Amino acid sequence: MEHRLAIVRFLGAVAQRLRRRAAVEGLLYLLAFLGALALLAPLLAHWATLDVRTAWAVAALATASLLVCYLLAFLGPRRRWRSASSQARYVGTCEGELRSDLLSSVEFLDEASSSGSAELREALLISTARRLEPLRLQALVPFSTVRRPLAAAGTVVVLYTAVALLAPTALAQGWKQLFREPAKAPFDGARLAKTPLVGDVDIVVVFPEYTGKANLSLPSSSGDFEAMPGSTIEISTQTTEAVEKASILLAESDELASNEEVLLSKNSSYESSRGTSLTGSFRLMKETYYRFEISNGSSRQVEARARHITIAKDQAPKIELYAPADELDVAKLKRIEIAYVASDDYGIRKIDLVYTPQGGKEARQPLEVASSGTPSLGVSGGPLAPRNAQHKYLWDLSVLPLRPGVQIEYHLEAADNDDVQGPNIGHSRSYSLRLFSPRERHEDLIARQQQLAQHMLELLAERLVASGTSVALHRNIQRAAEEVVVEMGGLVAALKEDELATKKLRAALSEMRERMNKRVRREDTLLASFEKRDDDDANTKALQASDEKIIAELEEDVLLLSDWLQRQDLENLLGISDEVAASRERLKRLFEEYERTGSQEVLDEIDREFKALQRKLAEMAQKSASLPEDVLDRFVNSEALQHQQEENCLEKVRELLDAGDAAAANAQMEKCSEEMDASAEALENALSKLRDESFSEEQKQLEEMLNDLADLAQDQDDIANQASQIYKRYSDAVNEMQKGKSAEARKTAGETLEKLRKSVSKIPRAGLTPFTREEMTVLEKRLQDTETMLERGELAEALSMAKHAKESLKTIRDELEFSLDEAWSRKGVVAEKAARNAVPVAKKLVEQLQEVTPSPSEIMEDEDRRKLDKLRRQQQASRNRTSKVLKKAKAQAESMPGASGKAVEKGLESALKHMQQAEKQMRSRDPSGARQQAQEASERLREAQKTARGAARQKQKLGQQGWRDEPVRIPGAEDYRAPEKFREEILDAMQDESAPSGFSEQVKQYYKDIIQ
Amino acid sequence: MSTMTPRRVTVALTGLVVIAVGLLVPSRAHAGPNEDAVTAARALRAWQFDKARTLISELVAKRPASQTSRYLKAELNFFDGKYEQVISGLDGLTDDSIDGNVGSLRSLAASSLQATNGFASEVSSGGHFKIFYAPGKDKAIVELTGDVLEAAYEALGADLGHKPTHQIRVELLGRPADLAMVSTLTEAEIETTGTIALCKYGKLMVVSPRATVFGYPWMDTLTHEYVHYVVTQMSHDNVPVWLHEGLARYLQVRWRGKADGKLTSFDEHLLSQALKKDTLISFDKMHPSMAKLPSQEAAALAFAEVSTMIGYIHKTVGDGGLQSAIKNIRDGMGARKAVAQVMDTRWSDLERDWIRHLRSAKLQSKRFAERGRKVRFRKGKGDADNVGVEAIANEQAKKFTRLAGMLRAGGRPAAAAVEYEKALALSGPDDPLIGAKLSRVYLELGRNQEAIALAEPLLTLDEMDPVPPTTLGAAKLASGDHSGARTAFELALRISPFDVRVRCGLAESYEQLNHKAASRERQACEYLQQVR
Repeated sequence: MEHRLAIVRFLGAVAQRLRRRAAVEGLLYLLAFLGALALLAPLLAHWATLDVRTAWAVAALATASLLVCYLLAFLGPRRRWRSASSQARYVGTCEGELRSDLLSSVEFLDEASSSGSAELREALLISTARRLEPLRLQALVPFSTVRRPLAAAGTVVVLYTAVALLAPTALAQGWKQLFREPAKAPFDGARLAKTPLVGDVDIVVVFPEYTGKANLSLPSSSGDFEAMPGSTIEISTQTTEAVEKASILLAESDELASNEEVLLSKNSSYESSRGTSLTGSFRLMKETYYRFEISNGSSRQVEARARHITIAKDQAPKIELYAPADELDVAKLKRIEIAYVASDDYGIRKIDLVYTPQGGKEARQPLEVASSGTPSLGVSGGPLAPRNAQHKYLWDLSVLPLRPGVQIEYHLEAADNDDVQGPNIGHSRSYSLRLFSPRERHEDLIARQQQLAQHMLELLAERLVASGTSVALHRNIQRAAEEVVVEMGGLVAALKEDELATKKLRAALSEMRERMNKRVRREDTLLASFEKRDDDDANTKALQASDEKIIAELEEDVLLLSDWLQRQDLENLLGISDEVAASRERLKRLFEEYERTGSQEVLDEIDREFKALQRKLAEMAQKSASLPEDVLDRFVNSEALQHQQEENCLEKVRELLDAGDAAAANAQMEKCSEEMDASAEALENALSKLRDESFSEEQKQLEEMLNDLADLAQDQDDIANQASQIYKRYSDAVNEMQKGKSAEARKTAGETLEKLRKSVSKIPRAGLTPFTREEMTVLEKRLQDTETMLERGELAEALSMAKHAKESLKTIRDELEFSLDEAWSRKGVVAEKAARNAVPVAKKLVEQLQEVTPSPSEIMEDEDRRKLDKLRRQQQASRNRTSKVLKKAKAQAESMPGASGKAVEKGLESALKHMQQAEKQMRSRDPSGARQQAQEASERLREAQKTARGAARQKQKLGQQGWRDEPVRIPGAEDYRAPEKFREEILDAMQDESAPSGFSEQVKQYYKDIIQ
Repeated sequence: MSTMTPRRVTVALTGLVVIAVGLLVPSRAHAGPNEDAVTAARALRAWQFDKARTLISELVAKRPASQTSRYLKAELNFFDGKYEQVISGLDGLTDDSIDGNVGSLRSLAASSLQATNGFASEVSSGGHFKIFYAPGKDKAIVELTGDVLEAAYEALGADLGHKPTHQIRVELLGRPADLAMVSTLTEAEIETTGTIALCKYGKLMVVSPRATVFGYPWMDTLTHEYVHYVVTQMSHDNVPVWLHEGLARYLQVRWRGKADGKLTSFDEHLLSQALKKDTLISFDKMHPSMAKLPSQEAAALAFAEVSTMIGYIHKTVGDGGLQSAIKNIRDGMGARKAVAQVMDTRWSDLERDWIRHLRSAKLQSKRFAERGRKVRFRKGKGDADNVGVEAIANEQAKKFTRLAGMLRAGGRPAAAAVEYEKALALSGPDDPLIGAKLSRVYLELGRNQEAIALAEPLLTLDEMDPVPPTTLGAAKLASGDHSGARTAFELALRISPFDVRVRCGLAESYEQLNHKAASRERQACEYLQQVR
């Protein structure tokens, strides 16, 4: 049977090779044909300007060739070489000697149809099979016949490449041409008229409403003109002959095509055989070309030359931003002043302050656009957007949800009122600012300490559980400890930059770090030695011993850090409480101001301050709630946690204010303030209790120092009282001496006092700084006291008060002078000048009173002189005690909590100066001065007590902000006004301020020059 | 220190109004509206609400515009909890009217309205109490509150022979600040004295246990205040503070069983020390209020004294004796005389006998009993593991305990166990505070048997500490002892009813034991899981 199988296999292999050869040949021919087609078709299309229809023909040809190829190269050979006899015939053709036997054998393969001797048949088959064996398929079915189609295909490829290289444009354009739609006849075959089809064209351009522009009339126009997008173009014209139908064909280019048709309406009253009057309109959105088309019956004519409407662009607004500085560092709670000037050709719809915090999302704050006054009206009578805008804006950073330290880029964007194509946007230049809040930065560092504490606790937990176990586990813990050491180092470095962190905390953390570092190094060495030896028992014992020591140290460190954290949490809470107090103080002043002026500006300020206060209270509530419960339970009583009640109390203030009852609101605010003061006091006590518990040595020293201060202040009060009594007797003596004689002196002094008052009233309030504003209140009080004393005839007292007034005035003058160096302003200059002018008047008043008041040394009785001497010795003793306390404070400064040591030192030094002055005054027999200096010393000591408590927790200096939370201003911005406003002011000034006689003309000229 | 400060039931406002109204009565008048007003005011003061209601209605009908009528009507509304109507009823009356009482009442009504604003209410199963509560977590204890009070209603009705006839208003307040708002107490006073509930103005006002860190024996407290209510009504508000507080303290357990006068270890310590040093507080010093005593310790001692005194009397003359004494006081007899009379002796002898009785009881001052027990109000939301640690005297043990608390709060119970073990070794194995904390950590580590061994002896040592019963309950439940778990969880429930472990554990125990309250506890368990 094997020989049968061998014949069949052989023939099958021959057939398969024949089919393959036919397929290869067919594919190569197909390739050659398609290549030729791909080359010829575009070239023909290019040269003969053929279009897409040719492309379709080419595609059809290609498809047909594919089909033919399939039939000839695949299907045909498959059918042709299907039977064994055809395969045998082919082989026979090639191997003639074998032909007959092979054909017979093929017949015998089918046993059923065979006749004759089976043995012979078998023998023939065996013989044929043997003869087939040496035949090679490659020789029987050679692939050399493929050369021809290969050459054809190759030729075509070479040709294509050559054409592509030599005439790429022709080939590319040919391809493009192939896919181009067949060109139509322009305007569907309408006749192109070389001359205009209509007469004069009258055009009215109706501009978009938002531009506010009046309609533009273009009579007898050529038809070429300019208009804005959104304009409605109204066209009217006449034809030279009667027409049945007319239209305008609109196009984007001047080619002979159109994409829109506007049918013109005929005015029948003007229609005649000689012509037709036509009108029509369309809305213009972009640059447009147009032609007139007229039809009469089947005859249509279109103008060959297109008329052109160009587009007038709506320009983007221009906007300038003015800020205090290009790069600004500001406290978070601050407001910064920005100013802007914007202009647009048609109108500004919107101005946005756009700011992007570093790594955050862009945010927007809409700003005021409309100018004051009546807005301009558009064509339809509606109000138009202003073309110019010029405003200032106080940007309140406190309302932004931003963390301190973050950099903010900001600029302005102005959008115009283009409602046709959408608003055009103008951008100002960019500025940047960095938010800075010492407290919040401090909070960040507290958070880092908390994280560190957590890591240390985890380290402790690992050690406690792993104590005495494997070396490998200890190696992991040791590595984690190394990371904690690094973390501690970073924290210590960061704390150096934190002004609210105490030195002691840094020192404690540094020591802790050193300790831990040593532990880590020690353990590293130890573990390295354990890793080298295999004695598990010995390792375990040694590890246990090492663990005990490390755990004990770590436990101490964890507790120490926990104590510091608890303390800082409370201190931080008090920090917010200080901010609340400062805010309340500002509110109080604002209420007073509002009660006096009823100003809307002040009311706005109150509103802002209120919101800030409420935010702070909410922050306090949130922070106190997150304190560990044991800290709250042990140290903080409920009085310190009455945030809800405080918020309710403030709510009542708000209601009263909204109802317009400023006085009641102020009274309620006082009530709230009392509650909040009590809360703050309770919180301060909580901190003292906590320090007493965890940092008892520090707290003890602080308490001792505060007691010393209290004792010294009490001594000073006593001295001041005694001086006051002596002074009283002196004053009585003066009054007695001047009885009946003082009327004239009082009158003269009264007149000078009146002059002084007038001079003081010329100091404009608006030019005062927050500090000088406060001093002004003191000055006014002193002047009032002087007047009262003069009325009573108490000249010595009047002199004393006048001296105080003079000092206050000098302080105001000096302070204003200083502030002008810092930031110049026009009103500041006026104020400083007025203060400077008032000082000589005050001096004069003092001199007048001194003239009529005998000096104490002249009239003081011996007994009082002795008393004054005794008092001086007492004062000296008090000063000596103060010096001793100062020495002690200096020695203990480092070991007292926070900066309390320094605060005490400062207070004591200041008090010492006043004590020395008091002694001096006593020596020169001036009981008034002695009393004042002794009182001053007492006040400094009490102040030191107060500041020392705050300094013990690194209290922020918030009290110097003044009664208003002054924004960061643009330098010189207060002098800036809109020109008309500025002119008004100057004109007012011209009327108000009378010039010295003979100089009025010069002054007028001066003002004119300014205006110009 | 007991939580139930003797904020007894002297209704200041009504007292004042009696005087004020009395002053308004002209000397020449023999009868008429003013006399009726005085009678009505007195009925209100004595909590004779039905009588007061009738009299005031008549008064209002006769003289609707009169200041007195309007004031009394407003006050009655206040007693009824109709705060809005109080405010509207006083419209047009100046604050200084009726000797300034109008202003006080108006202010109290406004703050009561604010504190109870948005409250929901439910009536107890027996219908004798209407419980007002803030929607939210407190809902989980409303049914329980009703059940406790209904049980007390029946038990005290039998003991004292008086059952109030009208529905009693109970206000569950969310914060101590709310208690300050609905009373004349300040928040600081509440915090200092540990006052947590009041019976005043004809209602019971109780701060919810959720306002505290660990809870407090709130079920006993409810009953304590209810005793005050009953005694006030029975005696027409004539019982002095010492007797009031003695009865309330002694009978406060009646909702759950017999009053056996058993002292807590802290009370026992206080009494034993006072007896030893002869520093018992005289009954006179307890007047006008226990809260006026110089310290929390003194107040706690006073409570222990009066409680044992009532226990002694009750043991001698039973319920009938107590009833007679109260009735005699109502009828005008002095309290000491009335009590002595029912004891058939003289007051001085009674006092001497009572002290002898105390001495014979051989009271002991157990170790750690000196640690003050106080209600700790929750002030924040932080972890509370270290609350109370300062009571540990041994400094090193205190440090270890503190570290352990920090470790447990940080999710490291195994390490916490090591530190607690070190602390316990230093402080002594019987330290209840450290022991309780360690047992809880053992439970968390799955060391149930060790947890049970530690928690079981601590079960009744501190009535303020829910940790031992909760731990024990959970450990027993885990080991399949449902009956033991139930007992422990029921103890925990008396202190800490908002603990999900307690409510769910109790639900499971009840379900296993087919207890009738199983569905209540299951509901509470599921509810607390939802709202936590």
